[in-house]
Amino acid sequence: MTNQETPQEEQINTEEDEKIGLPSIFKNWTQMYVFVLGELALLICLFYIFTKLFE
Amino acid sequence: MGTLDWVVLILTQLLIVGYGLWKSQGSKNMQAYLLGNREMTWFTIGLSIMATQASAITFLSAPGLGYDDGMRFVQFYFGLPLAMVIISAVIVPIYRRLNVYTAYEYLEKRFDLRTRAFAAFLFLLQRGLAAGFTIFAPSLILSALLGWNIYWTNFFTGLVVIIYTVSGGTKAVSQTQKVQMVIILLGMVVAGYMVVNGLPKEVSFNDALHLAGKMGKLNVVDFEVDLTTKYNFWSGIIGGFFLALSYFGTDQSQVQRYLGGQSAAQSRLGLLFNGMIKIPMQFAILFIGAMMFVFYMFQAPPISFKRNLVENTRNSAYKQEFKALEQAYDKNSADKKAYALAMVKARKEKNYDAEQAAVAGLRASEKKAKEIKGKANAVMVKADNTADTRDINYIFISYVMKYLPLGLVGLLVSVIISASMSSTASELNALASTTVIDIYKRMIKPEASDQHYLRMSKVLTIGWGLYAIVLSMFANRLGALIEAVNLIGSLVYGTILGIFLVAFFLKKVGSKEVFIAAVFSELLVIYCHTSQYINAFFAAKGVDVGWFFPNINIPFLWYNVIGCLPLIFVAWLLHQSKFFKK
Repeated sequence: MTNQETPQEEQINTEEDEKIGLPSIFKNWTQMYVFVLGELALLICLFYIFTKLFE
Repeated sequence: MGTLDWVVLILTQLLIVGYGLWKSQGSKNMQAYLLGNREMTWFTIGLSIMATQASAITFLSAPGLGYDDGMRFVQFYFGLPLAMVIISAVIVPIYRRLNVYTAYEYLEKRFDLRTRAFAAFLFLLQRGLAAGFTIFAPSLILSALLGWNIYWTNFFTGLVVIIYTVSGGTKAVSQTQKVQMVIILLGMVVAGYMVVNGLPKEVSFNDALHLAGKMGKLNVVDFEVDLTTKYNFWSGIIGGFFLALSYFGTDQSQVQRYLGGQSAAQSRLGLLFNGMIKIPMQFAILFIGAMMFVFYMFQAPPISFKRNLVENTRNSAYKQEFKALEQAYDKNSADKKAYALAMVKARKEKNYDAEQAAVAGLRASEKKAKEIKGKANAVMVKADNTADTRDINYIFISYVMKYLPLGLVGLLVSVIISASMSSTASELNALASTTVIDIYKRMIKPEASDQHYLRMSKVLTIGWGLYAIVLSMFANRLGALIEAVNLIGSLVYGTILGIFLVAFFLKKVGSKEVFIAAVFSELLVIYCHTSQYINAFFAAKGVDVGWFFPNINIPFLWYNVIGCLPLIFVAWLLHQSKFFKK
């Protein structure tokens, strides 16, 4: 048995969800994901500086 | 513990359980009991996910790791935000669209019943074994330090969890975890403040940072490419990513937390909240450990934080030998304090040479302390050959018991009990859900009423809870099993993740291909783990088989990658072959 769902159906559901709960400062979920990964990159940079500063 | 500590402990626990039960009234059908009526907000989901992952051992051992090994353990979590993004973007919409109760239901819709049953069985095996130890591990430490009876500690912790999990189901678990997480975070903030506040007046916070840094305790990031190092940037971002993807995307104890969201958006926000908060939280907990290390430069630490082992050895035939080592350790601690104060003074006077000399002295005395401690551990083992001398899990709670004022001790003990209960509750909830939905309803009694399955869910929650309590009672006699539990987890997570990733992304690959690929990758992981034993076995017989069985010695985090990527590749390759295309 293989998956019967199509990518199109997935897209429709995702768009509906976007209207319900996405924080207003973001236009779409991609921006939110970039924000989360941006925080990760920032934390790693800060941790690196922290490590070197007190080494 | 004083009376005030007991009052704080009992009040916080009553508040937590009472709030959970009050907020979960009305779980009268399966949807309400197993998915919380899909009413959870992102904030509840986020805290619930964090509380499920953070067991009591996390809060007991992470500060100890910071004290002993520095802060590099935080790199273990670098892959987590990336995994949260993938789960939010790909996995959450699929689970929501198919309206599943468990992650394994999806595998039948995508492949077949065999694959669903295989994954559900692996989950029940692994979580079922882990549940007893989630109760046992903190009980062992609390009973050793507070003099509590370990069996009663196990029993009461397990009983309270069973009562609120059975009464309110998923909603009670998540609502309770929300309050537990708030109390845990409050407790850790108070502990961190007290550690820094306990430093001598002449030592500023900046001095403490320099002292910890010079002793290698603020080693947060290490970019060196070394496969044998357990925690560095690469193992964290790659191995940690696969582990987090597998744990949060396919382990029912986590999947159940976000399946109960009001919408896919609330589930996603809960996951992303976890992705943003987890690393700073872990950094803070490890930082408390690094500051405790500085604190103990000025307050002589015990030769072992396992007080009962020290007492046993002091009363054994080896007491003279042990006393001499304790005296040497105390003298070395006094030297360390003098060097630390000299370094602080040199820094204030901007005397670079004096600072360097003090740092060299500090490092030498730290090295000597480790040597003396190693000898003392050997004596403790001579006094009791069953003694486990590793004391990392005891460092933080020993500090709490000795240096925190009345009331705060009760709060911190409450933090540890809360963390234990929150992880156990999620495990029982998920074990019952998987047993009812994937085994009982699917294979044993498919045509029964909603009320029947609801009753079965409650009965099975009680059953798994009692099993966990019984297992926790015998856990101290099954010491090696703790390692087995961790091993099973690391051996199977990569394979389970690989099956799910094929299901999500290789839409045309069927069940036969994925099953063969899963067997292949599982054997590969088992080989990676056993290659060193195979080589050692033949080496003992004087035969070198290294040319045929190369010795692969890598940390377990990489097993998640090895189990997953070859599975995907082999499944894809088999799908391309003519045999499977027929």
